[in-house]
Amino acid sequence: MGLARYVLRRLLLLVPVVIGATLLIFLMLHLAPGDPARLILGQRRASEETIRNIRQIFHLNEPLWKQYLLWLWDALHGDLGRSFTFRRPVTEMIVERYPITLQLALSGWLISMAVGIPAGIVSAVKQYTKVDYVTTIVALSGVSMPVFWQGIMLILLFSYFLGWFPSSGFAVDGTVFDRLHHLTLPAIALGTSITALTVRLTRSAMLDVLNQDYIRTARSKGVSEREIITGHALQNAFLPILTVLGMQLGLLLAGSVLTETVFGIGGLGRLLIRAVHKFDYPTVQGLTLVIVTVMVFMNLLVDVLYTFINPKIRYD
Amino acid sequence: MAQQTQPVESADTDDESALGGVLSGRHRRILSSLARHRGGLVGAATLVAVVFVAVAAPVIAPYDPLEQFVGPALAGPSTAHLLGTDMYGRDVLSRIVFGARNTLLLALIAVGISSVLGTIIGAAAGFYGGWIDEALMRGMDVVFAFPSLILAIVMMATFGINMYNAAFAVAVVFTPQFARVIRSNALSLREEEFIKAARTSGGTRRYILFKHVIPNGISELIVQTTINLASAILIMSGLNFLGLGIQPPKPSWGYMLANGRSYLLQAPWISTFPGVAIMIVVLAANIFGDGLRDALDPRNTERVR
Repeated sequence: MGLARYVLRRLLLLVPVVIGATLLIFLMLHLAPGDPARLILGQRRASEETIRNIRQIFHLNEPLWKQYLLWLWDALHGDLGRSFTFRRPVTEMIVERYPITLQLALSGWLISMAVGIPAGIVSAVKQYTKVDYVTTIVALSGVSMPVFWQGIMLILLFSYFLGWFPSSGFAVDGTVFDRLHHLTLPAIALGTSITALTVRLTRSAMLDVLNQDYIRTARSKGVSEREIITGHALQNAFLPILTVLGMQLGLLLAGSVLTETVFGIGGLGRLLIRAVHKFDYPTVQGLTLVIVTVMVFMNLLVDVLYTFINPKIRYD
Repeated sequence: MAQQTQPVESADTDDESALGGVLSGRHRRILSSLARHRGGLVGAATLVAVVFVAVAAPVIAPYDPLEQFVGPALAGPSTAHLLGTDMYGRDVLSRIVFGARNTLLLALIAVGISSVLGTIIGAAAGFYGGWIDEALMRGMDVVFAFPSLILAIVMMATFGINMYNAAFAVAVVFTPQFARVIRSNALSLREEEFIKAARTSGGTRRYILFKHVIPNGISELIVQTTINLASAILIMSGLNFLGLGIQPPKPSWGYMLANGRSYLLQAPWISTFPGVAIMIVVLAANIFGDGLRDALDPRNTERVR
């Protein structure tokens, strides 16, 4: 089976998941107690006529299956409906804010890789030494620390006491330096929260490889330790590490919600929380749809990359 | 706990002792291996201590967690108020102690519901196979497609913001993980001799499912429960922090932390200590889970015979 066929098969397997997820998001509005038209309008008082208009615009007079298809059709064309709480089209708000969340998530991810992978490798190579124990304990504490608390502690130390970084906001229109200045603390908070995971999984992936027979063979042949680690072990440990990095996307997105709230950053996460508090259904549905789509396709990408690097599993 | 101190040699010999089939030789080996896992023990002891604090909260807490101005507002830690007071002059320590109660209770409810749901779904999927398996597991894939915290947040918008809905949302989030673990266990059991024997001797499928398949996945279930307990507390605290879980004035660690942000400079203790509490509990659950997993992993279990 070639790579193209594999990708096609993976895509076909995604169909039920995508249908299920979109159906779930669509049904949110209808599962909520109350009249959907009034729910869409949020906390605003509305005349009978407005309600009738809303029913018309959101196709609420159609049978449920038709409503779903129409909603999906609109979404595919980039129309996620209109928020009556924020008085704006949902798509517009998402387009405006996604670069902020993207920058935050990407920098968090980079920090986690830059710190986590080397730490995991060192910890595995020096297994059962002091370095290994300290790394493991620090990593375990990192996994257990709530990201919002970490953010608050960073603000306390680096903004309030030392005054090095701003405590909130995001310089959207500022210079590069300005933006980095604002991004540093949130990126560290978000990054550390997943670094711990990177360390733990890199370590176990490396250990698995280091215990294989061919590494022992290489050692007995007199291959240098450095060559063994970079030439043999790391190459083979890369696959599990890659999968983990793909899995972290969900954590990064969830972490962004909390990080953006702590640092008052106007990204997608903060929008979601504000929309949930105001029961602004079109916004919540639109955001969730975008997030799930990104998740599903990033996971697919990781799967395909995985197969691309390791042709052995293509036939499974 | 008594089993942990038993001599290891006896663990393998009397499989069907007074404790019957529940604690088989394998389970005893696991317990004794756990007893030798220092981290696992520390984690377990910490969890027991926290549960004790939660249960005995009214006795342990020095003040009423809701009563305002039991001391001056925003007072730092002192002998009268070990962890200081908040903006309404409430005792932070008392609120943390009662917060343990609320947070743990909800996390336990959530993990409890998801373990029951996940076990039934996973066992049925693995045992029956065919279209039942396909339908159930594709359903689980759908839930799994959402980042967990985000799914929980979105469910709050649908069902309304209160603590029981929050617990239910967290339960839904964790159900697929239980289902997957139990399913793979059930799949491997299907081919076991004793299941085949039960079948040939006329046991109905439902009887076999509940009498044999589910009880045999108990150890996997326990590990998954401890690991998920740690995540459940984190997600629950996240919801509380966002104001989507336990509603004030009921004390919760997440909300205390969020509330203290406005007074971070004058009274950093309001936000700091609840975070420490979350970290201690989650860390303990994680270490305990690690210990359990090591103990259950046949590769790591030293077989002392």
